[in-house]
Amino acid sequence: MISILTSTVHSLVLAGPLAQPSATHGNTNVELVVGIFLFVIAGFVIGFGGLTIGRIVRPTMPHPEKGKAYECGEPAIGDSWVQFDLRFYTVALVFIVFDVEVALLWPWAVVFKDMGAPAFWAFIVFFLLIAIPFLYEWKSGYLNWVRASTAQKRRSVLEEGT
Amino acid sequence: MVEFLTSQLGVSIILALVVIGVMLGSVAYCIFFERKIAGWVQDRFGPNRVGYRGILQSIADGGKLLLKEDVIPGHVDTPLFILAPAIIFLVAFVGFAAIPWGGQLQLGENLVDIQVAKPDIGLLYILGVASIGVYGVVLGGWSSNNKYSFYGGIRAAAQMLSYEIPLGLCILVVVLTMGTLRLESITLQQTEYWGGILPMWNVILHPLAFLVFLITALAESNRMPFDLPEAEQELVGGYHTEYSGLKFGMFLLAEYAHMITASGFIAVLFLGGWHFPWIAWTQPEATAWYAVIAKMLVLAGKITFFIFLMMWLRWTLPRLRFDQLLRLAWKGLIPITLGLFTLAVILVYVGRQQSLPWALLGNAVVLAIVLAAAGLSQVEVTGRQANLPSIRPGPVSTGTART
Repeated sequence: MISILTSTVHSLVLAGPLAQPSATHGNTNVELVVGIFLFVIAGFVIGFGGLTIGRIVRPTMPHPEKGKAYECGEPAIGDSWVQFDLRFYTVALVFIVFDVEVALLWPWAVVFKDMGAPAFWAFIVFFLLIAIPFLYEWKSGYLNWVRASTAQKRRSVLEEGT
Repeated sequence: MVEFLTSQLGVSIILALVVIGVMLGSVAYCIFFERKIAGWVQDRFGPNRVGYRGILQSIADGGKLLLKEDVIPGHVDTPLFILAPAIIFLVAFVGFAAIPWGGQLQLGENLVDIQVAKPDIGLLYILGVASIGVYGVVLGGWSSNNKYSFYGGIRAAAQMLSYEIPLGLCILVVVLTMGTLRLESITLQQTEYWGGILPMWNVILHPLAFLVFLITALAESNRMPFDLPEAEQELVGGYHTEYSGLKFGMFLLAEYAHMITASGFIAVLFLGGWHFPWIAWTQPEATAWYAVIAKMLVLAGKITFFIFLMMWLRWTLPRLRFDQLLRLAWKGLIPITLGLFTLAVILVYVGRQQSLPWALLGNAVVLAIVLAAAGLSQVEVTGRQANLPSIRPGPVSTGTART
């Protein structure tokens, strides 16, 4: 998929030799799938097999107190599936932008050595696309974790004062 | 039969079984070593009652966890509650399939690779699999329907997302230098020498990237000083507060499996994998069976070193506060890695990606720029923020240490 993508970009935009595949040979598909699935199967067998054996040998003594949420001995008040602090949301949002940009750099990084100047200038443009929004976010204070609570405290202090 | 066993597929299957077995054993024994190292750091014995000097402690622990009652509280989301430990355990396991263990082995006429799977995108595969691990933690925290677990879960999400960006950029530095995503090619390129003496390991070429990678790997496997999601003192047990019995044990095992995978990844990317300089047995040309065993032992030694380092750090360093944690990622590591990445791009562009003096000079320049920028802009990467506006009237507290 990536190779199709890069070769299309290459033929449309850039002119120059594409990277040759490395000299070391890869696995055949069978070897690849068998190798990885052995680990997947082992993970499943050990995980669920262990739980099944545990289900047979372990005691089960249900008690109403055991079914309650553990909050240091106090009875829990309400559900914990509640709305939570939006600052976590900001981090997730900034991350999505960043991670997509980093993911797009992977195929580029592999072929960069053989593509020279056009790839370099493409990188400069792309890097500015990452760096300028990052500096903007930094400057606007979206990367500050304690910003919101400080503003709230100041507001409440001001309201008390008037 | 013999023909099958000496083919690549047969060797892969045998190696997979060996690696899975060794990994299970070493994961169990990691817990024992962790407690022994804790004892060493804190000047006490550690476990020493079960077997000779406590050597059977892991087996006793496993038996205890298996025989304990496994409570599924009534208020949880049961399918997700069971799925979460399974996911985190599986993911920590599967990433290990692509680690190159010992170069090539001569079997009769065949030359087979001592590596279970050799995908073209080995690096991307490990990174992708490792990223799924966050689901285990978040689902565990969410499905428990407990406020401690929930808070641990969202903390874990924010932390793992934040540290994934510097992690990816650090790996991009290596990819740019090596020009490939295949782990075996990356190892192979590191087996050459500068001036015939110094091995071309990436840790020598890009020491800053190695340091940042080590920090982010610690954060990604939720180890001290980044174990905010399960911080015992504030969140009881974080995302595994409601888990008991074997499911709790699976979270514990997964953490150590994750450590082993992360250590293997660091060893392959930055420390030359199975390569040990100056010894003929660990060079890529050596393909006899004893050379392969020597190479596997070298890689295992490097992994053991990193696991020891992680445990040592855990019992030495205090935990960061959550705002410090995120500030370190967004205002410390990401600018540094962006600088390192630019450096790698420039080095490759001028064709000096394997030149030691240029790379070290570049690293020094990046470090100097970062330190100068931090000094000029008064941004502290960790510690109290000195420039917050004062809330109370009266003398302004700068927040620095009292003298």
